[in-house]
Amino acid sequence: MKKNDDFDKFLKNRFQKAKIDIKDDGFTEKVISNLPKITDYSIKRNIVIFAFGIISIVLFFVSNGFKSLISSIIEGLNNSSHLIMPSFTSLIVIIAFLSIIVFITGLEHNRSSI
Amino acid sequence: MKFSDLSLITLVVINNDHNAYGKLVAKYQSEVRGLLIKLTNGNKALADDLAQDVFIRAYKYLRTYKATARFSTWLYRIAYNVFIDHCKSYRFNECLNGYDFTDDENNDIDTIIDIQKALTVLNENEKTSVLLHYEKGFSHSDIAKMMNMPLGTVKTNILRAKEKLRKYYNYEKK
Repeated sequence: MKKNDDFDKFLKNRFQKAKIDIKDDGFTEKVISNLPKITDYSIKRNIVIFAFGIISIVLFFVSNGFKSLISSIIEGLNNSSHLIMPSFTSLIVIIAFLSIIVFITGLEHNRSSI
Repeated sequence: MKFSDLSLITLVVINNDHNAYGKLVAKYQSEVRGLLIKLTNGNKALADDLAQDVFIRAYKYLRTYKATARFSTWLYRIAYNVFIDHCKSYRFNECLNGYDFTDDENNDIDTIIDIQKALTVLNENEKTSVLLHYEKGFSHSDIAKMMNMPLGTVKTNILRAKEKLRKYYNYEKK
């Protein structure tokens, strides 16, 4: 083990002595001047998510959402056993409800992204 | 006024502050360029080009930096990836090109040249592992994360590198 430790120390010493100290000489300036322009998509994304969220909430209440949601779920469960499609209003309510879930998930994602 | 790495990163991510990013670059440019010079067998021009790529890539992906590890660890990981991408794109020419030492009076030129020649006996992964461990002082587990390799592979790389360097230096096993 000792012979290994000695060589380890030798290498550490050698590599530490060989560390290169480089002056900047305009390197940083060159990097900054070549930085890409970052398009901030987060604002556009937030507007879209917010807009669809508002539309979904409005549709939900206009369609008498809660009552329709409960009856749609019950209808869906009943119909699944007979393989019959739910009504058009029920479909709109379910889609609006799912959009609200997506809206809330989108907000949570934005908060935790950085 | 001195800013910590994290506060500078926050300024860049939130305000797209180029001045703050410039401070980060200035702080780490010597270490990154130094590492790449050794990885490229002393090719300063190539090392500087790769170093530019490193910092530009770091800027683009700065939002993904999670402060669970030091910023230098994350940066060296990018440096390694940039170096490997370059090796894959071009047939890696192992020649010792001249390095202009005249402006860097603090450097031990003889030792630098000696290490540079010694590193030519190693492959890219052995070279990177050894530099990160013996020069930069990173642990095996840190190096494994940086190089995205199993811990066992990093240990094997360092072990093999040590054997090759032992033969190169004719270091007798006492």
